Amino acid sequence: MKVCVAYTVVSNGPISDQYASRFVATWHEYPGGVEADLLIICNGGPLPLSLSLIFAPLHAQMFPRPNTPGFDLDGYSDAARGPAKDYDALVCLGESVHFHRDGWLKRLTEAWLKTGPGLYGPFASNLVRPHMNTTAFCTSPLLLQRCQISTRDRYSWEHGANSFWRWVSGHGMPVRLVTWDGEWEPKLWRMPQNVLWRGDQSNCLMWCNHVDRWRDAAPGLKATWSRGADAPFR
Amino acid sequence: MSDTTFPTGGGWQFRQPQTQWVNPAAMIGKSASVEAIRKHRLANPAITAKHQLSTDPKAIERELIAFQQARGALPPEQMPASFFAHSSSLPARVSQAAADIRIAAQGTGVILDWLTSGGAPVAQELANKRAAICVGCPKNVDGSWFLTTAAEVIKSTLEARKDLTLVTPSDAALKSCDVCKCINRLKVWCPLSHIVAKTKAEILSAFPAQCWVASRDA
Repeated sequence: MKVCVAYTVVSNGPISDQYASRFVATWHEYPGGVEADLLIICNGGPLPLSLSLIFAPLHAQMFPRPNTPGFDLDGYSDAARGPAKDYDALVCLGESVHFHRDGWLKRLTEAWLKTGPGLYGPFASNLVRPHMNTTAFCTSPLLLQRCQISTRDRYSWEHGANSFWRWVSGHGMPVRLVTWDGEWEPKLWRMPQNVLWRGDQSNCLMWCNHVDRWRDAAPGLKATWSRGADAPFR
Repeated sequence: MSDTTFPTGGGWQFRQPQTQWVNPAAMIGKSASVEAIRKHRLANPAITAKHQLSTDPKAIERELIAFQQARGALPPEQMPASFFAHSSSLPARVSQAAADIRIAAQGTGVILDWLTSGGAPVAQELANKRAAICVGCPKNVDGSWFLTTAAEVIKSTLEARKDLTLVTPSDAALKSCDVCKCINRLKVWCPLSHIVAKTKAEILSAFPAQCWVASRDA
């Protein structure tokens, strides 16, 4: 199975260097557990020298592109049609994603090998509508190529009534939340312990800004937030 | 402020006092919050008309920002996204590695920028003097894993500069600077003005007193 991990970096983002260095440090500290090529999607064109040097230890391929209205999603879509088109699986990671435990990629590929090409991710909630967060997800480049849902409205693509995950599911392919202790169908996304916005969130294969903000929020706000995430599946 | 950054204390919170409605998209983003508010107002036309609530996204965005300012989550003027502090559940050594990687990239960038822009090295005598200071400095340390590649990048860049032969008698003992994470064997050749101009103030202020950068080659 050929896997490409695509990490998004904003070429002149105000804190891109902080996100990028955390990504690089945790990529090194917590290996994914299976072989993969790393693609750095540079939204906004080639990275400034000091930002590009952050990635030097990882020997990654750079993919500079304009920063279009669909931001990260357009980057993944372009990657799926370009440098990542020949891979079996494309793992799409937002700028704030970082790792906290070895074997995160192995878990995603294990799930894939069990149920086949589809959509797999470490974060899911029922906030607004049930959805798999597009902060991090793993899918086939072919699916990204074929899906005609516009990425201009990023939120609709993620959690709209006609979102990407529903399109994948509607075509009979698996959509699974993948945690350290299982793979979960959409109706069971909020069942496992310590997932996004629950407990210590340690069951997430990776962490991101959504994890950090909830962890640091006041107890009352956390409770409200979790209630939204745990709303009934519909 | 971009759509991927959030005010402190719960993100883009908003409460419509006339309906007691609370924005459910506060932690999804600013654009999503504006849209949620707009939809709520459109869904309540009588109240929207009675209180002359705007449904224009631009006007709603201004209201949303004003709401954050009123609750102290944003200063009166918008600040860069870096206003929110990074906290982490990662072990301290991993967080430190992340910080060091950023400093190393910046330091390597200073030297690469100098090399690739055709910059001339300092005189042999000055480089020798600097190198001797570095060798005796406690900040002259073995580099971490992320410095290996930086050294390779610099080495290959240096190979393109056939006009340069950069050797000091102290080379064998020169390692990496623990402050700026630079490769000392090369840094001692870099003009001080370039180093001072391209290095962040917080790093410049962290060099020990005996360092030739701190003393400005005095």
